[in-house]
Amino acid sequence: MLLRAVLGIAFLGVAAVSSAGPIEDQIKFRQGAYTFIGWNTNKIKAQLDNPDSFSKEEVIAAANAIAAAANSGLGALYGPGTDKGEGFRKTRLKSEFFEKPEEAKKVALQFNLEANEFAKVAATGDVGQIKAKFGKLTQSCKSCHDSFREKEAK
Amino acid sequence: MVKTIQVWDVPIRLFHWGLVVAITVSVISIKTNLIDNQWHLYSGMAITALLSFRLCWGMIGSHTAQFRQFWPRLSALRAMLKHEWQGVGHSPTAALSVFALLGVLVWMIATGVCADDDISLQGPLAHWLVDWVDASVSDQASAWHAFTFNVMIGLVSLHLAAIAYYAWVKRNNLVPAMLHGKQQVTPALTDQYAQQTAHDHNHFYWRLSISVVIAAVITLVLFNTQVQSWLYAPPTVLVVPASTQAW
Ligand code: HEM
Ligand code: HEM
Repeated sequence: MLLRAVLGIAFLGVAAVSSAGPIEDQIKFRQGAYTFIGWNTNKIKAQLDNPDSFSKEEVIAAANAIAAAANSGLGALYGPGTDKGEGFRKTRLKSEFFEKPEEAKKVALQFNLEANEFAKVAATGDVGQIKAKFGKLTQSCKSCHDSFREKEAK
Repeated sequence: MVKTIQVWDVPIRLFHWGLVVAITVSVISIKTNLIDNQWHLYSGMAITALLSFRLCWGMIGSHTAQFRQFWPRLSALRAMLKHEWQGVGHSPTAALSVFALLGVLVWMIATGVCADDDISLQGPLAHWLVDWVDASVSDQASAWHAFTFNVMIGLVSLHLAAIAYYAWVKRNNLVPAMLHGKQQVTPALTDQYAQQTAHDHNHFYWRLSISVVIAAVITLVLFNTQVQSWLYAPPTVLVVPASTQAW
């Protein structure tokens, strides 16, 4: 009887860890968020590459979507322990993210700043400026990926 | 008495300096913000064209360009180490360096065309891989591409160090020969070289044209999507049609 109770509790413990608990959720949400952001940067890039297809409204919509995602509090999805685990796929967050919190914060904030800046110039419809700021925005993606994203699936 | 001979032909020299320019643009485009990173694709295309040309020219080009002529053999390497090697063109150790450099560049191209940074730079085959094979192949290619870059930098540094060593220690500056193609050699070597290169003029323009055409075909096939976007300028990615935007 006692044994059963102990085993039962032990199983509960295992179940709590392996269920799609908070860590998996955090990873899933952030993978989803960046995929969504990527969809929007792709739309903008396609239009900048091919000026004939440029639509001010579409760029504004994409820019606002990026800014909204950036301002949604993505930091909450980087809880301790989320450098290991599986969301839609295995996470590629490097452990360095937690070892160098200052640098992590810096690149994360830089992205937010560029996303907001970009939304502002998108609203003006000035293609030259949009191009320049888009370069800054994607640069902010790259600096985080270079430092904190694993080059290939773990 | 020394005589002056033509050691590097025009195609080899154009290839060499073209490659230097293209690789420089390639690195600047990716490592700095001085130029748009799309230049990485354009320079990648140039590198592909130059390298495919060089591979053809190594098979059907002039004597000193031919791989089978400077294929590194153990006997030659041993002679080189004993300072006994004599000849025109790439020395046995230089030959090793040439093959290593060409090999690493082939690998940079192979991985580069499949790579994707998930932000704003896609190799021309990355889309195809994601659609038809698996995105992880493209991720793997990106990782290899980034890693191989370090290997390439290592080999290029070695190449430059060897040239510096020849110039300063052995008092033999090799750079001018790669610029104007001429080199001074002993009369004995001149005769030997004259025999070896006797056929260099045969069908020169035919061999050149064949190499250029093959290089162009390889480049156009690999960079087909890029070329199409120049010719027809279609939007490459899912720009949502206005009609579906109602919601
Ligand atoms: C507009 C800018 C950005 C773009 C376009 C972008 C794009 C992407 C894309 C497409 C993915 C793949 C998502 C997946 O796994 O399916 C990704 C993953 C990732 N990104 Fe970004 N990203 C951007 C900014 C950032 C920033 C600022 C950070 C730094 C906090 C960051 C950190 C990461 C990490 C850690 C992953 C891996 C997530 C995981 O596997 O758990 N990204 N990004
Ligand atoms: C000698 C030739 C080349 C050199 C030196 C070179 C160098 C580099 C470097 C240093 C990176 C950054 C890697 C990183 O994230 O740390 C890169 C990325 C990239 N290169 Fe190349 N590359 C070359 C040829 C090519 C070619 C021929 C292509 C084909 C179009 C190509 C496509 C790409 C792509 C798509 C990326 C982004 C991948 C990523 O960052 O994950 N590269 N390259």
